[in-house]
Amino acid sequence: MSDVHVDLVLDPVCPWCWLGHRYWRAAQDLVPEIPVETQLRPFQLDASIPKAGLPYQDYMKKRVGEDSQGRFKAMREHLEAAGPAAGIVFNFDEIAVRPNTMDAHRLIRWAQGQDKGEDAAEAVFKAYFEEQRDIGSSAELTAIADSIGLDATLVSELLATPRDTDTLEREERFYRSLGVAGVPCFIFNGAFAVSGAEAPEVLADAIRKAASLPPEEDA
Amino acid sequence: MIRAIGFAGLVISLTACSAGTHTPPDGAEQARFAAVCVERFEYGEQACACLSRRAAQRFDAAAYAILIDSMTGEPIRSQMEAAGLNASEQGAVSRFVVETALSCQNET
Repeated sequence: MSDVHVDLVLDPVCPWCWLGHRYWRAAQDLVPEIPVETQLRPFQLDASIPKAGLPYQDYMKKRVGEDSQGRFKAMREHLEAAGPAAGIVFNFDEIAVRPNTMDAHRLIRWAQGQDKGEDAAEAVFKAYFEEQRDIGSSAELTAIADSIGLDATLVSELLATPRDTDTLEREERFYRSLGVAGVPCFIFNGAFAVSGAEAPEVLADAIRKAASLPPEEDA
Repeated sequence: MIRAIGFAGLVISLTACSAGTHTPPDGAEQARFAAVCVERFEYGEQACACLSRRAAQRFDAAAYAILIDSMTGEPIRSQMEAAGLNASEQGAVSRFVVETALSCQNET
């Protein structure tokens, strides 16, 4: 058995990503004997959204289209039913803004440098899905940073700059080039991926499988 | 260093958020693709699973179903017209297996 490294590709506006992140934490509890390192990676479901965001309800209606309303409704019902067991209360009807998520990704990246990346992701998910806050807003992101113990003044200053935007965009292009078309996507030891908010047992099996693989040697 | 990744299982997850309005084929349809592929071609199960996965990433459910029909030998022109696929999409469906089979065979 060897250590497992997982690149977890996500977007903070994806409800499955929040559920998937909770399942991921539960999965690690199922295999405490295997050390797991998680690196959060960026993915923007729609990078074309302006920095100020768009009205959420109008955006979603347009995005899913009239033909897909039934499927969209079923998906929301599934999420609203599965959420409470994972400690999540989704309330899609109250969300006002569909934000651009680049700044949220930047905050998560900076938090990751302080070993608080997953705390930041959880705080951003909660702000968006439970508290209906605009996570594209610098003020909200600064408040979130403060709430998890980051230097809010520094974060506010960094958000006013394009710092790390290029790096995150490059990373996102890289994951798309690998075939990541949906999130969450869990990439185990750079070797295989599990797509979707799979149950903790499934993810735990993937951890075991990754731990049993021989380490890959870089050329 | 990640060079290429294999997606565990055949199915493109329906418990994920996908970019764009792409409606992926469901698991049963992806299994049908692989079964038809194995039956009609000599690529083998792994290459057919690869083809199925890539097709699910590339096409929505309607085009995917037409692609399966094309593998059975059914004429699909009228289906593609009825589904509203434009000329580019029709070409992509028609060429998909030929264009993708080699790289899937190499991958496996």
